[in-house]
Amino acid sequence: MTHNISRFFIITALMALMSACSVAPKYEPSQPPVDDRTTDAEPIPAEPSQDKSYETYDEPAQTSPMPSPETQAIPTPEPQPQVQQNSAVIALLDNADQSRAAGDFRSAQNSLQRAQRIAPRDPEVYFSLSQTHLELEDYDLAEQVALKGVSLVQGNNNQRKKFWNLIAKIRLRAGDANGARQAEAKASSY
Amino acid sequence: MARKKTTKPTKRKTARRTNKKSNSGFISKATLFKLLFTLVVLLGLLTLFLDVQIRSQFEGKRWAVPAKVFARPLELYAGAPLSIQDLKIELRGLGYQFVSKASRPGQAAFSASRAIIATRGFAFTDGQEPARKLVIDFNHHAVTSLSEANGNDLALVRLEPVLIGGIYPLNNEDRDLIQLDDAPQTLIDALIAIEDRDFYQHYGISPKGIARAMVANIKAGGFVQGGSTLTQQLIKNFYLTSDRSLIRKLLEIPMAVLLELHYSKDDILEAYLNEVYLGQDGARAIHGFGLGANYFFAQPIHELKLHQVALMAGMVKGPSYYDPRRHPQRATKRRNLVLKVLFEQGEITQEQYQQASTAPLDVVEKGTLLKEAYPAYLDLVKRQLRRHYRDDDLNSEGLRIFTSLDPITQNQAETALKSTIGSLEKTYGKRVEKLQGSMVVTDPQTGEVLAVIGDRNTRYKGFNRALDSLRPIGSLVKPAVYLTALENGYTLSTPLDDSPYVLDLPNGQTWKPQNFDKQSHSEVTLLEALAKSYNISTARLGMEVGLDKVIDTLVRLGIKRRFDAYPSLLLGAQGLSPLEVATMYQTIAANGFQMPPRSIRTVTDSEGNALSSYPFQLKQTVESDDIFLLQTAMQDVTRQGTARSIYQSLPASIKVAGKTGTSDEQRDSWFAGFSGNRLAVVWLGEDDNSPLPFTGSGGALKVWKQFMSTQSLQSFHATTPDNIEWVWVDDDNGKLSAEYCENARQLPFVKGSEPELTADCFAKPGEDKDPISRSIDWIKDWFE
Repeated sequence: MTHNISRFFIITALMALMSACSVAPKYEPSQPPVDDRTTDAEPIPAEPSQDKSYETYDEPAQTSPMPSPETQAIPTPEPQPQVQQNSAVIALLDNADQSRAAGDFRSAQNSLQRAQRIAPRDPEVYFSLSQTHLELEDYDLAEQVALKGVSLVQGNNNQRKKFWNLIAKIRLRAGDANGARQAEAKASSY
Repeated sequence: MARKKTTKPTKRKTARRTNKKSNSGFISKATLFKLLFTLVVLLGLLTLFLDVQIRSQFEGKRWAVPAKVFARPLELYAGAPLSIQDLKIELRGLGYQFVSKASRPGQAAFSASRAIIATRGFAFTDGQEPARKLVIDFNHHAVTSLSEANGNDLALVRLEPVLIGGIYPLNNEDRDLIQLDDAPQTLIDALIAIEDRDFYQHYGISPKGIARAMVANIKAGGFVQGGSTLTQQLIKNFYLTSDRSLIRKLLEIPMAVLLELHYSKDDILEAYLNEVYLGQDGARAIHGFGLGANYFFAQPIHELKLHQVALMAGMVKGPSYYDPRRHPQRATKRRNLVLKVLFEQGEITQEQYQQASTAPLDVVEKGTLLKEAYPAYLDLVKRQLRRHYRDDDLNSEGLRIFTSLDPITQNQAETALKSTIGSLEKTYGKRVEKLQGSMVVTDPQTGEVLAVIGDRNTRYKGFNRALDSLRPIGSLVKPAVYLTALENGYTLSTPLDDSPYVLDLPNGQTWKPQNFDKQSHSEVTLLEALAKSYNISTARLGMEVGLDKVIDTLVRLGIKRRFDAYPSLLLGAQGLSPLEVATMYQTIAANGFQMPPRSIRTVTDSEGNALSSYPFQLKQTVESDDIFLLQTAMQDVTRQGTARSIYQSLPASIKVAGKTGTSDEQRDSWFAGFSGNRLAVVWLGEDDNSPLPFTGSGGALKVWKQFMSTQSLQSFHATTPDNIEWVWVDDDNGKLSAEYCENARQLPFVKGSEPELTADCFAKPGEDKDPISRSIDWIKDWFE
């Protein structure tokens, strides 16, 4: 008997869980009600800092032989390797475009996150992901993803322009007219 | 599981009392009728009760199915940073058989630079990955081409994900549910042959079987065969407690008959296959043949061969007595008996019989598969899950949890940690007897956690140092101090004062930070002070910019903790966990975008429908200009500073950035650093805080180097932001210089913040200031 009761509770809990998942119907009705989770954590109180006269040491370097200065590539403004899209990323970006066109933003997001893992420095992946978040009306994330994307653009002013126009659009939709104007100004500077 | 039925004993009492009355001599017809009527009603009620019991449990959710936790699926594509050795690690974890010619799913064949694998396929939330035969070519660190065996090029294929663990209910029963179709026919034949020959003929109980068992037992002069049908065994395990009371035995028979009345033989058999107990792995009880196949042979059940299924069918009689790992001889004998019966009954040919009964047991060592291999990672996953799910949902609903654990990276991290600790023990002997270590590896671009180690004994499910051990981070804090300075008008070439420093504390004590070599330096550039990890200049700098600002920076870098504003904070007195350090360094690696470390990608129900997803989240908390300057300085740490020994292990073409850390009295040895695609934090120390005979670079850095050298590394690249320009300066004093000058190097500056004071060899065109006005400019510049 307790079995039945516990089963009842589990089912109820699961149903509650599922309904909780579908509270915000941001997506098309055909979409499964999938919950977005963030990994927020409560601030942790400080460990009492026992020793106020604390010191720490780092030895200058290991005594082992050091590579000669000639072989060391000290950071310099060297041109960066262009991101080359491989066929896997192209396929995933295509999938995402199709999903987005069909209104299946969840699927688009899945494809783009796969693409991001393969090519995390490809601005196009972030552009598409930002567009997807914009469609999902998650404006904060859309803007952050676009900012991340534009930070990865290398020497391609058209692409920068494209990103800042997108950011302007996101801000406008989010009701930030001022920010949108700034982004537009930035776009037209390229 | 509520298997006790408390109502029945009362009923039995009533029945007995009425019987007593009937023995007392005189009974009227009416009384007899009443008695009989009562008895019939009671029996009817009992039957009804049992019937409801049987049906409700059989038709409802029969088992608490533990959540399954999966690693990330390996993505294969031309250009994937994966060596052929890496692929082997992954396939071993998946229980692939390495053969000379891969023909069946779950098999792989290797040559020096080519792998041919027959995949099993997997139903992912976002689509089915079909089982197919792949041809993969490698150069020494990457996939060069990927195609199907028929020659078609493939853009992208996902392997099935490695199962890394489960979340078990209180009774610790673990099982992988299978359907009848999944079970090889030979398994069913063997079970029926050895346990219940009349299964398809009887109605739950088998008088023939009982008779046969009695004859066999008399012949053998002891108990060799039971007369219970498979149905009775199922009833016993499924509905009744295991104690052998008469009432249980009496209930077993009517319940078996009722079960047979309601359900088909196939339904009963399928339930049996999933219920049967097959062994014990510590606290975890192994139930069902689906899990059994995995636990004993590291293979899915449909891939098992005759000799393997015969062994499992034979074990049913006594899982611990016939345990093939502990009693291989007994198990072999039992297996061969099963095979003999199968042969005698004509289920297998003579040739099959010969072959199978001479085959080895083929049982894999415990721990061949990766289930439960990564307790520290699983711990992180569970903590993130428990914020959103109840324990009951996790351990009974068969949820599937897809994580970002990378078994290849985890494997290589474990090897690096263990072997470095081993060699430190060789060097330092007893002084490091109790040395412990932990490690966190992430992908700095996505924020996904790839590997976690919480103990030098990596499979130990105990104190998880990666998450719970808060140890002073020493100089790992310095990037936050220098970032704060860069945000407040300092540049990489700003001269810092490294002369002896005494600070009077409010409690009357004084604070006199010293450099590692006890030397002070009059003036060093900000860049050099960080690269060489000077304490005095850092302390002075931190006090100058303000403790509150440094704390604010730490928070913006992702540390969710309240800090006390003690000056010692500037040199890393604050204790943090390796995971927190990874969070902080990730923000630096990701150009100032804070990304919470993520271990879970998706949670689905048992059918694969997504319940929740944990999407890529980020928030820019540090300006890209400032973070770019800091990244440049942290690359100097690894090129010419305290971590320069890195380039004994890594090729000079790979740019990495990082920081060594050693706490007070050398109690903690830290290193945190990143390339373009890997971020790793390593901690070494002893739980009782004993001082170590080595520093951050003498211990943790060695683990880091060894680990990174096993990875297919991508160089760290940061795009120069618009507002940054590279300027030639003198490397020693940070003054404006030129390409043709001796000792000149390029450093990035926020536009307008370039040094105005010029080095000796360099003269700005049209300017020839006297030394005094130059100095005034210099000071002005400093204070601007």
